[in-house]
Amino acid sequence: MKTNRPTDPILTVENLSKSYSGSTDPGALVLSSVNLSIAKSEFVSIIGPSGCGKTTLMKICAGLLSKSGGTVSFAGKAGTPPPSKMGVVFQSAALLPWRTVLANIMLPATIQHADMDKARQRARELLDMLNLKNIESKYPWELSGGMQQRVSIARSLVLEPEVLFMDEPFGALDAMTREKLNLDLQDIHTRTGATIMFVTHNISEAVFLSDRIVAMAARPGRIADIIDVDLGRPRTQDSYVDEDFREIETRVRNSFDRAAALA
Amino acid sequence: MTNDMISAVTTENPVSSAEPGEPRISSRTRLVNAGLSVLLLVVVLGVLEAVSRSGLVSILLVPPPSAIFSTLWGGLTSGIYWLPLFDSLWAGFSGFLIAALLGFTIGGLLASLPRLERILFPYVVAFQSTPMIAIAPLIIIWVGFGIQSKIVVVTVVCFFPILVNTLQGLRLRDRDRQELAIALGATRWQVFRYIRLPGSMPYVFAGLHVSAIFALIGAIVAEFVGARGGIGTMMNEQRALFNVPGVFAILIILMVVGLTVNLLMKALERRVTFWSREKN
Repeated sequence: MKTNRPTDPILTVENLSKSYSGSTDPGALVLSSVNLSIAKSEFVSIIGPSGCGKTTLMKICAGLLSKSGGTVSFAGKAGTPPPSKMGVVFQSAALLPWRTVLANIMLPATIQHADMDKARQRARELLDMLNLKNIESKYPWELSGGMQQRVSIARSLVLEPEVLFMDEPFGALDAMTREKLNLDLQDIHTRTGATIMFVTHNISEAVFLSDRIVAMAARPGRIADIIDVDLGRPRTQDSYVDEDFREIETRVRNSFDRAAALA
Repeated sequence: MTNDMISAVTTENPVSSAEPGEPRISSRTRLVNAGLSVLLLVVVLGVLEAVSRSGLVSILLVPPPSAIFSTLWGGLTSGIYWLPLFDSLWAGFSGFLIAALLGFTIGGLLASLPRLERILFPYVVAFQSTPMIAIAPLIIIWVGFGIQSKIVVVTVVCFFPILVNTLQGLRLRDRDRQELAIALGATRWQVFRYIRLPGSMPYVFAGLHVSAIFALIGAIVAEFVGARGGIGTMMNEQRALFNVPGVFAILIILMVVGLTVNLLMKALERRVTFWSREKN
């Protein structure tokens, strides 16, 4: 499969498997022989029915979970990306309620002893970019869910990571907020050139954002299909009703349904 | 900004007076409730006064409130309460501080040494379930009749609530925050310093709040069972003299002190853990 092998991969997963029970029964595997390469600055979505291991795959790539077999390599070396080169956005914003918005965004810089002045400047740029003006001294609980998630995205970007892992970051948001955040995320992707691994179960979101979509199947969790999204950028709200967009959406949906039927 | 915080917190607080954003009815209801509280006090005092004066019960046993207040007023103006009160408060305060320091430090230590915690935990629970005040007489025997024994009693009484609450607060494990910490490459110390410690503060302060009241009780009880000096000893003397208004006067002082301690702790708690009430 040509699409699975970019020429300049920044993140490579080879023959990855994961089981929680320690048993070798293929049905008990959360992930089974997963192979995936992601190119620098590529936006890859992982999509699939619940229980297919998409979040597990992402978390193993980010070094948040251990693997049972196979290899993950970053920039040509075995191992997951070092914390200074990656950002993670979780399903929940996971902001610290006792820290102001700015202090939350600065947390990675504090932990990694980065240049605080530079980080502060970057944090303010990100607040601007994410339409979060005049809230830097507010506390997370004073913000709406959508704004909290924006803050957590800003936090993940403050050290200008090379790779961004996102685990259904907009899953808990309403459709309107979600669309706005998708536009902003596309903008951030274009501006920062970060490589993004994005876990979602929303097909149109995946098509809108991605360069490639990895459709997974469950029991055992594995890659069922990889779909290229050759749509120009920037994509706008009108893109959703484009014929090309709809066609890719249908292809992803078919893979998704096949994957669900197999499980 | 901090002031904004405080006002934001008070908005949520039912005892605060009318806020601009609050509906009018609720602020009026509050005023009426406050009025009814005062009325209740006046009625109770009036009934006591009447019962006491009517001769239905011995004036020696139930003195009329007016007699209690004149005793209190006399004592306050002559200044007889201040030194003993200071004595007790000093013992309570020192004991509380020592207990807070010990409880918090040991709590932090045990939380970072889970094995040791598991070994010691049954004893912590056992001690916490024992009314520690009951060992006050023993402490008087061991430590003597001076202020030291009072401080020890207070420390012992205050220690366990602070320890247990600190432990509970530090033991909280939020999965998202843990993953965030790993993703950020935080060291164990950084996780403690930036995530677990601040996150434990609502629990720690709940422990401190309970203990602050316990400190007052500890000091008074230590004086009841033999420690010299202090307002508890004074109360005991009044009792021995069968000066019931004198006993009541001291009770009123203790009530005021208790309320003050309570308010102080609440204010402190709100300042430090302003975020915890809002979070949910």
